[in-house]
Formats: sequence, C-alpha cells, structure tokens
Amino acid sequence: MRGYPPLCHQRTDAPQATASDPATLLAFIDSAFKTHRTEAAVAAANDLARRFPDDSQVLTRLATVMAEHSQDERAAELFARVDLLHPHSPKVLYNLGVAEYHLKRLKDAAHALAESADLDPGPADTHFALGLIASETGDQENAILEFRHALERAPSRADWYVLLGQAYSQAAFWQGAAEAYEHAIQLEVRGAGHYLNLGDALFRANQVKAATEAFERAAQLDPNLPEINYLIGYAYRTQGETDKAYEYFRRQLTLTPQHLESLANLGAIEVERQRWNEAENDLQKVLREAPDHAEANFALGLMYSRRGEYERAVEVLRRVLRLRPDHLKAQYELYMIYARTKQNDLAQTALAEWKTLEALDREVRRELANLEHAREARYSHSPQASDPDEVKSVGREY
Amino acid sequence: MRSIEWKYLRGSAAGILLLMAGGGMLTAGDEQQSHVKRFENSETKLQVALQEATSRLQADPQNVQAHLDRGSTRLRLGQLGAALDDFRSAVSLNPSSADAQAHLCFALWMAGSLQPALAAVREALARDPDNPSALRYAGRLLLLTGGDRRTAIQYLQRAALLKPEEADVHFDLLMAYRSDGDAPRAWAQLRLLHATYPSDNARVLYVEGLLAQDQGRSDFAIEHFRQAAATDPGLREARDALAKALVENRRWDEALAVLGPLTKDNPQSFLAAYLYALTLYQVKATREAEAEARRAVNLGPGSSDAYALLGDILAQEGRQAEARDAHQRARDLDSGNRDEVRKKDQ
Repeated sequence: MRGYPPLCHQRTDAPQATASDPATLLAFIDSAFKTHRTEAAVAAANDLARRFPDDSQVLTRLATVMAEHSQDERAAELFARVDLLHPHSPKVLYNLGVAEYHLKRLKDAAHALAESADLDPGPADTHFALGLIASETGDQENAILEFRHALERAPSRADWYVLLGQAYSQAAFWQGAAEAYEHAIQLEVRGAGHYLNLGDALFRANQVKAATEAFERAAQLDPNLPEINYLIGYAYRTQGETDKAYEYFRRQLTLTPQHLESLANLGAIEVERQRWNEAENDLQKVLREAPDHAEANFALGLMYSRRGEYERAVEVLRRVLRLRPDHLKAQYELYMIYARTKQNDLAQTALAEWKTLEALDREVRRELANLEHAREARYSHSPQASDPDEVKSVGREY
Repeated sequence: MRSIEWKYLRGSAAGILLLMAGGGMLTAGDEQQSHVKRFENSETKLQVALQEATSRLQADPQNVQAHLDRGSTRLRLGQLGAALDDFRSAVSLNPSSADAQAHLCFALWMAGSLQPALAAVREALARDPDNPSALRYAGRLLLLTGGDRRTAIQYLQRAALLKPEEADVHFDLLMAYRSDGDAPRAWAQLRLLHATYPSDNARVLYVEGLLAQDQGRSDFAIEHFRQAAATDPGLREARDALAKALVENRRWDEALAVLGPLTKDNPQSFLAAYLYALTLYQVKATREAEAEARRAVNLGPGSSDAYALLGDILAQEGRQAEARDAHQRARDLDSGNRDEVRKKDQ
C-alpha cells in the first residue's frame, strides 16, 4: 500500500537545514532521507513542525515527506494534527489512514479511511485500502464490497482482481473467485499464479475441464510450481482421462518421488489397468508413510477384490469405511464381494448400507448446490446496484 | 503413579458445540450504510445501537422490536441481566411472538439456564415451527441437555433447509450426528464443510480432528487441533481439545507447552487447571502441580477427580494427613455422585 501520491514537488538541489522557508527545509529533509542522513532529516522535520504548528499546508507537505520515507509514526501524528486543524478533508484522512495501516493500527486506519470514503467516494485507492484492512481482519463481506468498489473505479488493476478473488475464495464463492482471477489474467496474462488460482476456483466450482486448462497454462508459464503436475493429473483423472492423468502423476513423481497423493493416484490407475505388481508397489509405498490414507487403502482393497482375494479385500475395505464412514465406493465394493461369494445376508446388509450412503451422498450434493446458490444470490448482483457511492470523480488522484 | 481417570473429561469437551460462529453476512441494508458505519469497531457500533434502541423505547415503551434490539445489543455487550429484562418485557408485551421467545431462549442459554431456555424455545416453536433461529437453538439445547437426539437433529436439519446460506448450521449437524454415533452422516457433513470453507478454516480443522479422535487416530487429531489453534487462537474448543488429547496420549512436554498459556488465557477454566495440574504432577513439578490442583478444586469443587489428584500430589510430597483428607473428599464426592445417579435411576 506504500507509495500513495506525493503532495509536494521534490527538488533536486541540496538545500541547507539552516534555511528558514518551509519549501527549502522540506527539500532538505527529503534529500537528507534519500542520502541516509536520517538524524538530520528528523531533526529538521521536528524543527519545521515546531515552527509552523498551525500551518496545515506545511504540516501536510511535511507529513507526506515523512510517509514517503517510511516515518509512519511521525507522518500519522502530523496528518492527525492537520485533521484537527482542518477536519473532514478526505485527502488528509486518506493519508492518515494509510500511515495508520503501515503502523498496523488497523482500527484507526479503517476509521480514517472510512470517513475519507464517505466524504469523497471517488478515489479507488481509498476503497482498496479499506478492502485490504477488511481482508486482513477476516471481514470478507466488507473486503468483497470494497474491492469491488475499488475495481469499478480502477478496472485495470490485475492485482486488485487477485485480492477480490481471494476474498471470494475465503467466502467460498468459487464462481465469483474464478471470474475475478479471469479478469486478472486478461489484464496480466503472464502470471502463472493467477492461472493456478483460477484453476483451483474453477475446480471447486465443478468446472473441471476449464480448471485443467488453467492448471496446464500455469505449468507452461512456470514448470516449477510445486504440485502443478499432480493438480493437472488429478483434474484429468476427475474427467476420466486416465492416460493423461497417469502421465502427469509420473511427471510429479520425477520431480518429487515421495509425493504421496501422486503415488496413490498412480496406484489406483494401475489397479484399473490390472497392473497388480506396480499398483501394489505404489500403494504400499503410500501406506508405509500414511497407513490411514483412505484412497490408497480403497485402491488396495479394490485390487484384492479384482484378484479374487476376497478375505483381504474385505479387511481393507472395512478399514476404509472405518476411516471414511461415508465412502460410497468402498461400501459398494463390499456388497459386490459378498454377492459374488454368495454370502447373501451380508450382501443384503451391505446393499442396504450402500443405499443409505448413496442417499446421503445425494443429500450432500443437494445441500452444496443450495449453498452455492445462496452465495450466488448474495454476491452476483450488479456491483453498481449495491454501491451507495455514486462515482463522482473516477480516476481522481490525490 | 496415578492412573488417569477421564470421568469428568469424557462428559465435557466431546459434547461441546461450537457456539458463536464467525461474523454474519452483511445484509443488503448493511451495504447501503456509510463506510464509517460499516467499519466502526464493534464496541462503538454496539453503543450506538444501544442508544438508538433506548431512544425508541423512550418514545414508545411498548415497542416490542425496540426491546428485542436493545436486548440483543446488551447481550453482545455482556449485559446479560439487562438483556434478559428486555427480552422478558418483549415476551410479556407480545406473548404470541416467536422471535421474542427465541431471543429470551438465547439469553437464558447464555446465562447457563438451560432448562428455562429449552422451555422458551419450545414456546417459540409452538408459535412458529419454522423460525430458523428457534430451530437451531432447540437443536443445540436438546443436545446439551441430553434430550432426544433425533429430534435435535430434525430441528437442525430443518434450520439448514430454511436458511441454506447459514453454513454454520452444518457444524452443529456434524456434532449432532457425532453425538448420535452416526459416523457416516457426521463425515458427510465434514465433506460439505470442506467444500464450503477454505482448507485452513480453524473450525473445520477442529471438527475433523474430533472425528479422527473418535476413530482413535490421535496423532492425526492432535495435528488438526494444533493447526486449528494456531490458525485461530481464539477458538477455545480447539485449544482445550489439543491439551486434552496431548494429556490423554501422555505427551507431557507438549502438553506443558500448550497448558501454560491456556491456563493464563482462561483463568476460570476448570478443565485447563485440572489438566495442567495433572501434567505438572506427571513431570514431577510437584509444588506447581499442587498450586494448580488447588486452583482446580476451587474452580470445580464438585469434582472428585480434582480432589483425588490433589491427594496424589500431597502424598508424593509426603504430606500424608492432608493427602488422606483430599482422598476422603474425593471418595465422598464419588459416592455422592453415585447416590445421585441411583436416585435418578429409581
């Protein structure tokens, strides 16, 4: 957030601290900071503030110089003084808020910035600063609102779209997050991280194909992104494209040989391909490190079942259901084993349990859809409709 | 060495519901508010709201909504008695209001009067069976008071259906299914929470830890409690669960590191004091253990466990007469508890 626009012109000559006019002294202070003569700069600043205690113009310019050189405590004091002399100036309040933000006094910062935004809702920076504070204090609702207001006024800020996307993600509104990241990408196509964020949001919004493309683009831009090959592999596997998935899990394991999730997925694919030795090898590697890995256990159980080793299969599948009592596929496989081995009573019980889990699964999906709709209704309306701030001066800078 | 008894603990942390979830959503009305109003710190907001509601009541002392607003504000300001007065006034002014009864229920609950709270929420539901707040309170209260779990679950399910945007109810449902021993449904709720909240959400980490703990996967549970407590140090349940799990697993050094700050932050917590005393005793810090056990006894004078632990510590210090007294007190409390149970059974 540093770098708010200066309020005074900087001079390049080297004035002396002994000068009496404020402009010369301000130039000296600025120059002293730039040449690392901090003590001299601070002494001159104190002197200037003492000599012009009621001159809000001088104090404002001094505060700006102090803020530009990270003297936030002093800058905040000076802006607060100016606010006392001339209350209700949106510029002063904005600068005071920014200084307080740098001092991590977020409540004071929010107070000053909010007053500034009410007095003049035009400048995008004020809304952005408020959004940042809301986001840092876990107030995602206000963060979303303020980032949106900021972007209505400065629609070319890719970094702000990323923050809006993050706020939407925190609120679990994945569609909104995906749209925000897409905007960021349109403005700044080279950001691998943007594609990664986009892929994650799209995947969570159940747009798996688009998510896969986003992950692949991220990998093209930065092949060293951790876990990127695993993510692509997982997205392909979710779409049923196991050949491609297999390839990417392999790539991930070439880079990080102990990547358990890639190993577990690879093992599961090998079970589907009936390559028992490779499957067992990969799955056992996972289970040695993580004996409670539900999916690796499930793949192993499935393998035993396919090989006709029903006793072992039942044992492992029961373990899966202990770990994940809602594991639909494990319950179904258990039923199939009992049916194949003509254990009719057990088969009937297992089938009934599977039906219960299946109904439960449908229920969860329905509730998730309800939640997503509720979020959509909450956030998808036109930003302008919710914006009480008529944009009076778009693009205006302090 | 004293064997660890978990009589008290078994009945406590496992049944705690997650109260007071994170901040609510902004309503459309909130969005229209000024920036200053939206970003006011909560104390200031509450004081302003209190003044506004009081002014409305001065103009019209029969204004039920103003009583409810002022009561809610007072409740959030910690003025429990005054809040109860407001809610009772609202109920007497409009006995047919489900909202007024629901507010009264919540305040009674916060005051620790669970049975009266349950009675109030039943009144609320009699007036409006689809009042989402009343349904949620009724579900939670039934679970807390050992009432019918199936009914509690039905109330919570109905609340979730009526207000799908309130994802927090799924935490309640998870805990309800868990206490009902319905692991598949509890895990299904976790799946829903995983899809709804970011992966580092402290409350999701905490409940996942609880589910793993139910399966006896203590390392996994401890790790999740630890992450939850680190992500949100204000989530007391996670810190309590972490401390308890570490003690149960006899990971004394780690328990010490957690319990020291926990007892400082929660000086009125019997559970923290008891666990800290037990841990100090186990690492042979007998003098500190005694001080902490005495604090536990003061905080939970009806706990036979705390007296028994104090007795053990005193015995280890060679103060046999005092130890005998403490052990005798523990036995008396134990038999008193047994008599109580027998009476109830009869």
